[in-house]
Amino acid sequence: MPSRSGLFLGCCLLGIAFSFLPFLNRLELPLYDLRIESMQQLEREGVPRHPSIQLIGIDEATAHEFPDWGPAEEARVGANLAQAGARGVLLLRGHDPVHEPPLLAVQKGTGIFSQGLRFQGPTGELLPDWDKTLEQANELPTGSLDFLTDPDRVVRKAYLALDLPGKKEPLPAAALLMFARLNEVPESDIHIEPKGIHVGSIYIPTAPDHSIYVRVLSPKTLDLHNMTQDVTREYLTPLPAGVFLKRDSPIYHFARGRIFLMGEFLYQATDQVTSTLGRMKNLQFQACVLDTLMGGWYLQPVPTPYQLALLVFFTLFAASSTGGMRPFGATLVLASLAIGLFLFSYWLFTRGWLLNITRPLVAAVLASLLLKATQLLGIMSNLRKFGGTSAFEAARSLDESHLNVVIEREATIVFCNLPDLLRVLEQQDSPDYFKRRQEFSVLLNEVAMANRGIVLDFQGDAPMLGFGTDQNRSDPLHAYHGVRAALDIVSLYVRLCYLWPDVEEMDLLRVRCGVATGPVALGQVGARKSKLAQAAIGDTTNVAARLMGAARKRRLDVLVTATTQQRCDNRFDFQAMDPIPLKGKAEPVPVAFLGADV
Amino acid sequence: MITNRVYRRFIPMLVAVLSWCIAHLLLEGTLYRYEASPYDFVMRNVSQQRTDPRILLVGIDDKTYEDKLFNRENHAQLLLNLKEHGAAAVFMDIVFDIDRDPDIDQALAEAVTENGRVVLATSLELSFVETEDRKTRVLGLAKLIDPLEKCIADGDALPGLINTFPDADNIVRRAALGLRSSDMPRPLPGPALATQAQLSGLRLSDLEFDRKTGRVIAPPLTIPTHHQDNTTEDELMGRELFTLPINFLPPATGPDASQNPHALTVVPYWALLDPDSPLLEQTRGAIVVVGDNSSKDTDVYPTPVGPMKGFEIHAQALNTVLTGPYQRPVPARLTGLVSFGFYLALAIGVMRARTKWSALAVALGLLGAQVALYVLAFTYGWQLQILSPLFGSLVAMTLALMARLVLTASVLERYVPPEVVSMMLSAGRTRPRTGVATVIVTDIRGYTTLSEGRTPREMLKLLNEYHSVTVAIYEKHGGRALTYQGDAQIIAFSKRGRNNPAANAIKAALDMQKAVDMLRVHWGLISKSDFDVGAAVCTGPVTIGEIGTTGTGRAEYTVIGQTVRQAHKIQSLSQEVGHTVLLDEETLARSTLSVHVEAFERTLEGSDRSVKIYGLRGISRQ
Repeated sequence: MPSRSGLFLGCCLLGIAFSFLPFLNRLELPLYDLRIESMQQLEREGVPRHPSIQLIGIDEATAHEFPDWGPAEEARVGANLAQAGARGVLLLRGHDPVHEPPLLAVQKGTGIFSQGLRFQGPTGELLPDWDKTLEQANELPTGSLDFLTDPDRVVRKAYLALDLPGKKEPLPAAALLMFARLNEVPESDIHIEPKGIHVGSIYIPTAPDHSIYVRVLSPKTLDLHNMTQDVTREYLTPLPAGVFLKRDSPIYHFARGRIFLMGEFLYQATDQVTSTLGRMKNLQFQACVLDTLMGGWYLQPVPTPYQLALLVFFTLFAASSTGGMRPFGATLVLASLAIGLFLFSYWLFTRGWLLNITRPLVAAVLASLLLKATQLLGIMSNLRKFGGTSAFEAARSLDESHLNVVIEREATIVFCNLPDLLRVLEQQDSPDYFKRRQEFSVLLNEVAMANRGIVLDFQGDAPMLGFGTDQNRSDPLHAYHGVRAALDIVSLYVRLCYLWPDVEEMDLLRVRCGVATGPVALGQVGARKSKLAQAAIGDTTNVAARLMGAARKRRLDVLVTATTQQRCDNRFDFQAMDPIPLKGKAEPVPVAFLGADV
Repeated sequence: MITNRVYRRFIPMLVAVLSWCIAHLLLEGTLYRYEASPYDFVMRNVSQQRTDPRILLVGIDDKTYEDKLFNRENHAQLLLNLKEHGAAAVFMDIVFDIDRDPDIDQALAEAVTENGRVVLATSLELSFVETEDRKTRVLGLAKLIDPLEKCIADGDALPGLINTFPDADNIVRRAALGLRSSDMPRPLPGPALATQAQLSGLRLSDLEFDRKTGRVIAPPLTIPTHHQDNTTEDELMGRELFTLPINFLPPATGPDASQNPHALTVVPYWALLDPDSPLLEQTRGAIVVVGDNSSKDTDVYPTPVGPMKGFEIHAQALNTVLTGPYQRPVPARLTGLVSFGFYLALAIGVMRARTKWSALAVALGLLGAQVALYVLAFTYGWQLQILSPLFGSLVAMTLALMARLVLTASVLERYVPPEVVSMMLSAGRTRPRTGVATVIVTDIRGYTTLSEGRTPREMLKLLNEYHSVTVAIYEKHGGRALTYQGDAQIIAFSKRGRNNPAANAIKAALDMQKAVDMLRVHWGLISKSDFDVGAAVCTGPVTIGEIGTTGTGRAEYTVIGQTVRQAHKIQSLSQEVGHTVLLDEETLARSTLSVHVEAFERTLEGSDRSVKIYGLRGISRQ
């Protein structure tokens, strides 16, 4: 049996180890989403989109009005925007730049175009012809539009730069180019390093693969029933591209200093991103990437040593504080700890730190649950120990009537006296007393169990053992077992001599037994609600107790009644003796004995 | 007691109901979002789909584009070639919605008519209708070029709706078999259904879409579909879709194209243009699906088995329609009922197991059975939910564990004091405590006489009544009955807070006397010699702890020490001195009560010293 602290640490360690199982990472994803959603809802009136970012959607309205919409129209929009003082236009390529190179030149003529291209396919691998695409598209500043898809197929991160095989420099993301342009940083001042990206004097920490978490905004525009709502800056609602073709459009009053993202916005399942806040077009997602950069909210994971420290501390704290509690209290404490942890992680989240909370939660819950399970096992064995099988059955079968059952049957009761040494020690109030008494009780228990019996009473001068007294298990050989146990108890003398070698007066270690067989009532005695004990009640019990006294007085080892002798079928060499008078008995009781001091 | 018993019997039921509520009422919506993962996993790894060998994919690949072979003249040529070689049906996954050269368009229409077994792609598109003050979005069908619209109107070709309807995670799992709308004269079939109609020689009007049952009937097939799905309904502006989950085969197109024998066969478009091509022989009796198969990122959709080209998705949907089984959800009520059965079995299994191993075996066995049931149902075309039932099972196990802990502890509290049970819970074991306490030892006088003429069973009943009444009194005064030895009781009063254990014990002993008098009357006894209780109240150092075993076997939580022994001896003097309650000197000294006592001096058994004992007469009311 491992020690209590060993068990505690074992449960905690198991919980912590389990929390590192890879599939649990999936659980962190919805918790991340919950934080993003809370941020969108808890921040006053939602997180607003950066006012410098505007979206232009080539949507059905545009397609309806200008059926031949193409790069030439886009170039006209660009020219208009350039004239109105816009800083840049990021064109999300809906069409194939490889096959339409002459039109790039038209766009280039406006002076403000950049283009975004996808280099990765749906599986996340680089497209086979990425280098050809890049080579031919080189006439306009080009950035990648690639993002990372999590195992649940939701996009939470975007690449700020893309490592391309065979290229020394990673290809910056289109959003990063736009960010540099908004901050008036020339492209040559973008330095991409494994740990982060310098854009002029601004530093953006990234993961080693140059990805960052994107604070997505609500893509309410895909909700078709709300299309006629006002175009507000909180949401990612693009303006129809057709509006920009008219040179005198009032929209140009707002163009100065802004960045425009132009891309396909048709009602089709094309170029879509499933984000935390719902499905959106890549056009909108790219706006979110740029918005994240402009907002300066660069979410980074909390450094591993701190995460580990929190994991260990939280697990130990939760397990120890719920350890001694009953299940209901423990659940309440665990729930409040979990809420506290989430609030803490949310506080960190709004300050740009991402804390993994699945691991501490899983580890704490599992450690507490394991501890509760070990507690249950402990309590169950204690119940067997203190209450016996009937009590165990009552708990197991959810039926307390087991505690009311009384069975009358023949059983054998053995009383033995305590070694006189213990009486002496108790008289002296010796500190050794409890220890030795416990040692003797353990021996007694072993003897009882070896003979299929139980110790019914440890207390007092004369411990009492029962054979065939288990309500749930009958023993046809109870008399034989009782006598054999009595002999074993007598021979404990030898073991006690070894166990307590300091005892000089060996006679103090003698134990003698009285054995009686007869009908007893087996059941639980005591107050139903507060204190019960296993009991074997009846005349047989009284006789056995008196026989023990007689054996002591007459210096006999084991004194049995005639019934016991009869039930044993001559398995023992009983010696006959005259019936002896017993207190409370009118007639002398016929007895026999085994062994005596010579 | 009876209500208590009934209530306990229902605990597993309660656990099952609670688990059901948590898993199905609270969390089903949340878990449903992740239900796709096990679905996809089983689709990829477990289910054994059948492949219809007649289906042939004709891919318009990179070479076709580069050689500029992709044009309407060649489409017409292909249709004629296929007709000549006896293809059973053709689905063209190309939308012909822009007018080109009228002669070529006419030639294409003629080839379609000539072939007679063609399904033409059509798609839903948003368009704008201008009303007086604003534009409104309208979802409508793309209009095909006029010659082809005429083919469809004349019944020479069937239209097929090619839109894909991905789930919330953007993955395509089902195909639209039909679309029904109030502004269309009759429901529009999906390509799979339209191709099946061409195979059986059906017309559009022969197809039946039953709104009530969701059945799509295309004789001889009757296909159950999910026809009401809120998400799609919302996006479709009130239109109704009849969708069928596709039993996906390994992809034959797209970036993950595999050579798996179950995958569909793909042949290049250009190879079928020459009327003498030997490859055309393979098209005899085949169902041909023509569509884009370039190596580019175009028209690729993610599916549970990996990304694949749009035309293959339609072909796979057709394969599902032709071979079955048709996936349909198990009714929610049945799922709930089956899950509830599992929760109940788990709760009963965990709560009634005799050993930890049997509990573990039951739990793991039932969890495994749930997974097995899910997979088995899947292979027969029934979609069960798995995540919420599994989660519910875990909840049921945890709740059952906790309930068993509470119940076991509550039974254990009848054998050892509750604070000791708490100690066992928090520290795992008990430690003996040594300190000064007041101990009452009681014994029934005339027990032997009392038991005469009574059966042991009656005696036990009598004793239980006696213990119940007296223990309640001790507990009222802050005492704890620790041990019974037949008719004897040992009760400990220890210092807790500001109480005075000695005074409490004296009060308890007096109250006990009154209770004994009442019991005597209650039992119809007259003389005190028939039934009386002697008690000794002693104060001194004691050890309270567990005696017995450290492992299995029996143990007892009790109080031992010289004080207890002395109490036993003093109690045995009670009859001799003629008092029922005797106090020792220490108790009298510590008690703050003003008690009336009679003092004696006696030598106790096994000792030479004489001690003062006091017979209690009563206490004055203050």
